[in-house]
Amino acid sequence: MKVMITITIYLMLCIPAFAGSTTTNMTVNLTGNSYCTLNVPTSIDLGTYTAQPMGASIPVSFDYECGWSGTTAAVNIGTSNGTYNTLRLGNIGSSYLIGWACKPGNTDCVYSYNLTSFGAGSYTITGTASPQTLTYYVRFNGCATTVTSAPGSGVCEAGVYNGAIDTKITF
Amino acid sequence: MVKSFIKNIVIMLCLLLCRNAIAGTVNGTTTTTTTIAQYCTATIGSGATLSLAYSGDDSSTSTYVDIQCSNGTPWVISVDGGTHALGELRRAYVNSSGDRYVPYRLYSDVNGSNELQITTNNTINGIGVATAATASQKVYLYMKVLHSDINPSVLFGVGYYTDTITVNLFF
Repeated sequence: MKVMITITIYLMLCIPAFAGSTTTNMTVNLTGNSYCTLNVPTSIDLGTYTAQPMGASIPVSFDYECGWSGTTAAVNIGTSNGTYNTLRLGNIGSSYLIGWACKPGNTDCVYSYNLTSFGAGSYTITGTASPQTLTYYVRFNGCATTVTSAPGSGVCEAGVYNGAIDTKITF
Repeated sequence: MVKSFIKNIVIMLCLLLCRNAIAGTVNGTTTTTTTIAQYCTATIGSGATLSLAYSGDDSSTSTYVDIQCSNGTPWVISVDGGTHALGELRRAYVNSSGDRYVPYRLYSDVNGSNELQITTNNTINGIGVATAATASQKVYLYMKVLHSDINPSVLFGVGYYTDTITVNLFF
């Protein structure tokens, strides 16, 4: 004999409608560090020269963005033995092609230590937190037999010189 | 008694924007290409003047042209007939009691075997040697006054005879 019992379970879901409120403050901290971004041209052609006269000043532009508004940063152009002085534009054997870079505005780029030319000095930019373009000027001056000699103290051998211009922004 | 609370959380965002003076640098490098074409320059050496005192015997003197041509660049020097030539004979001139001339000859070798004439055989050929270590090469010109060129029927007399010759450098 079987006895079947059926139990019915009712679940009652109660959602009390109590009214009320509470307040919690949550603090969010966002740190805006000083920053600069830099985008230099990959390559430039400084042209073709005969002998070693001082070449024309060639404008070179690069894009940067520094923040925040009002902050300053220092731009250095060029390479040397650690002092960001002259530009080493390449060599063919012991014929070193040397030039220099001049700060923005100096369209007739003439070497003047740390003044119109970069030398070991820098150019100050003020951050705006928006993309900016800076134009400096490059001039080929002559050749030397060593990379540390004065431009024009040596003879330029004919050929193609491949060099590099380093750009640095310190903030 | 079941107590339920519905918390209405009001988040007050306190956005503290801090400008930290964190130092740093960004760098970029632009490669450069500069071409020095084959070139030549010429300058008259320290003996720019061919000075010779003729006293009746065959006499000679010399000067040189400094040539700075790119290593391997072929060059050609040509010498014209000066301003008082007669036929293939160059002449120095003085106006002393009338027009007077002393003929002279130019050579490219000290032995006088390669005469530089005026309309023909008036060139010297060479190859540039200018490198970083070797700046220039000297091309010598030798001048002779031959007694046999003096016309005994002409009384050329004592005086200071001059001429100007033009040296062209082609490359």
